[in-house]
Amino acid sequence: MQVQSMMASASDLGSIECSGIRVSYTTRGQKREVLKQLDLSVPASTIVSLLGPSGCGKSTLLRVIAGLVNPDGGIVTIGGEDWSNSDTSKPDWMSFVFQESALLPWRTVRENVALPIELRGGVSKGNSQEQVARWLQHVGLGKSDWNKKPNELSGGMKMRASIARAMVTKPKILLMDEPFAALDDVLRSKLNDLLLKIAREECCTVVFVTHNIAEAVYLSDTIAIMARGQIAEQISIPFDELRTNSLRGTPKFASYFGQVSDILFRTALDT
Amino acid sequence: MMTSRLVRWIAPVLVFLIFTGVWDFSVRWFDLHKVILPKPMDVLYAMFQERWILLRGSWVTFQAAFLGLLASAVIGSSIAIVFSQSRVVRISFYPYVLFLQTVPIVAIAPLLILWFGNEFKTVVLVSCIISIFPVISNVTSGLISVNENLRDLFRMQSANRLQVLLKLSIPSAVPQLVLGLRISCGLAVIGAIVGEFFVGDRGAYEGLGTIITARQGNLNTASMIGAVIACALLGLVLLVFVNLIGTIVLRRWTKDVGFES
Repeated sequence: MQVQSMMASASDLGSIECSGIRVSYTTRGQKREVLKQLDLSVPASTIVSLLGPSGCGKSTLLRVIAGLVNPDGGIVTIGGEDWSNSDTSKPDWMSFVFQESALLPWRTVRENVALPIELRGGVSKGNSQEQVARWLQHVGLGKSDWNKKPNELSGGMKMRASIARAMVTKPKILLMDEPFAALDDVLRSKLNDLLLKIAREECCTVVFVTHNIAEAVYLSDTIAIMARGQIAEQISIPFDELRTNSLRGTPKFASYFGQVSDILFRTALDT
Repeated sequence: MMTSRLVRWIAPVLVFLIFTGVWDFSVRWFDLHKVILPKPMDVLYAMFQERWILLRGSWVTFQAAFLGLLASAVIGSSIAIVFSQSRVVRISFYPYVLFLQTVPIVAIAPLLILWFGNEFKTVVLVSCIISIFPVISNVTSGLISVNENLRDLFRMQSANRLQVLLKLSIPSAVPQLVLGLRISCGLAVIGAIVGEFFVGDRGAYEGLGTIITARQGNLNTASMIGAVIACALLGLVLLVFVNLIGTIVLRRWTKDVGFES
């Protein structure tokens, strides 16, 4: 009985429930509500995109889920457990990928990827080196790049390293804050494919903040469109065919694209 | 390209020649006494005659200034690390650190001589006191203004305070330390020479500052100017040295989007 319930919770580690989230910032005495009674439910092993105009609170929501911002009210449940009141410890099966790759400039690529393991200090040295090497290869960084400093890499390479660093601790939840915003279209689609592959292989839940509609449609099981601090609308994006680059040309893709941009346009007009 | 590089070398030399020419001409034209202003050749001759004294003096002063700067780097960085750990400590002690900056070193040097004697270590102390402020203020600001994303990255891993300090804040502040030392190295030389003025030739001490005070007593102006030139060269040597080390260190710490954005 007990074993069964533990098994169940293990497979649900990747689920996220936000209910009644309120966040406000005070700047120069002026209180501004960023998130207003926001509810969001992300089932385990799905990819959800947060889409919306800048300033709608999508990054803040991501940071609330990450535990980097404490909400003024509401509950964040991750893997069935309420984490919203714990200041110090966070679920250790959650990783964050930042908008700029956020690599430490004084460390080599390999040292950067090893950082999370190093900070946790749990894994034996040889074992962790193996993990690091495996992920460096997996994200497509060749051995010749491993000992380079971040400033010697292109934007796409840096983002690959950043993803490797996020995955090296085997997270069940991957939180990404406009990770590919600064990349050109070709690189962006390549990295979209990489992300899909990783998420599928590792059974990862992904919460993906973007303002690019095509990217959101391509990646997501569900798109949550945000406006004025709330989820304005949620649409699920089922595709029968595999998500590969040829999907982008199909009428179905175009129809989802149109649907999402309609909603975005409508909600943006309201503000 | 070739001509511009050539101009780069020739132009300063030309300025130097014009300057010494005007100097030489003025001394002859106004018939100035050599106590007031000796001719450039007299200065050069005095420097040549006293080359060993000047070299030895430069070496002593260099050591004092270098040790003063080193002490500033070590003590200043340690103070900055303490400051970075607590806002309360920072607020409580910052006015007194500012005091280090504003107190005229000339005013407290006699006190330090009284307390620590006519010795080398007093000169090092004066040099350290005058050069420590830029290190403290630069390194403190480097330690507390770490890139937000990098901070969050460490928070996501539930990193403890010591890990954040050792693996994030201190490496982030290294460029600021180099910057602070570049400002400080000129001050360290000034501090050493001022310290030596006060030590005077009472102790068994022979730095550039003591040489200047001694020559002042003899009204040996040519030799004094020679020592002043040696002081300037010494400052230059220390600056080049610090810049060299700074460049080597900074090459490892080159900037990046995740670092400076």
